[in-house]
Amino acid sequence: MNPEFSKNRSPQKQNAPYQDRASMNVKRELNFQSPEELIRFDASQVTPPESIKARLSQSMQQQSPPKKTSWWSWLLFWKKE
Amino acid sequence: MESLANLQQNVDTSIPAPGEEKASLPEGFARIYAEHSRGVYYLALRILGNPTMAEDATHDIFLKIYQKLDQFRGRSSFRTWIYRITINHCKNVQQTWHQRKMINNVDDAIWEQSEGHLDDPLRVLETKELGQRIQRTLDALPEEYRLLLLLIADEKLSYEQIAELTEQNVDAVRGKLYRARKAFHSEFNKKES
Repeated sequence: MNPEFSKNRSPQKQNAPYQDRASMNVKRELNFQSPEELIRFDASQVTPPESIKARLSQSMQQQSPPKKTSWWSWLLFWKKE
Repeated sequence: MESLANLQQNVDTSIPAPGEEKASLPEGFARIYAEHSRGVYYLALRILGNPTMAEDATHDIFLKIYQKLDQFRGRSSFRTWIYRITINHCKNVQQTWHQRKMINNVDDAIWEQSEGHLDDPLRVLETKELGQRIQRTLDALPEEYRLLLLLIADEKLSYEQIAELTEQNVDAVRGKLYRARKAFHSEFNKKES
């Protein structure tokens, strides 16, 4: 934890090991207890560009469609998620 | 979620006619894309560390998924299967990239492409800086730790599925995750020079 920011933090906030320094300059702070929580938040802020979908549509026009699987063949292996 | 079987059977393979103004995916596949594109793109982004490469990779990955739909046998979950394709594809991209000795100069401007729609400019800046910091931290970690942290962050994956994706047992995953979290913590909180 960066010591120069620790002085102004309340004890409760100091318990969060991941502080986003950028957010220290605004009222809202981001407190994360683990790397995965931090990464999860980061992931929630990222969206795939719309251009991917458009490109994919064009590419798929040049592909032959996938073979349709016989219903019984997957039935042997299908596991419920 | 609609069963995969229905999707495999009912994937509308009709392609929009040339000249249609709005590009669209076949209906069944569009649902697959809607459900998994975010996770695939983010995983590719943080593995490859470059939004442009991640965009290309996501396109290629979903094209592979479309082509290989008939090969999915249900031995793993569909998400696991998609992520395996994603991880293998990204590894191939990295290998090719290193072989060509391309220099990954991340232009700050291109990071803006990957941000979600945020109205508050300050929030956009925070998110961008946080994302860059997370990327730098992940890049400093061993590849195995990086992958484990990215996978465990996906709440739709269980430890068993992560073990399957990383080809090790659950105990090994737990042990390495403990070390990965420590390494991430140490790297993330290093004083920036």
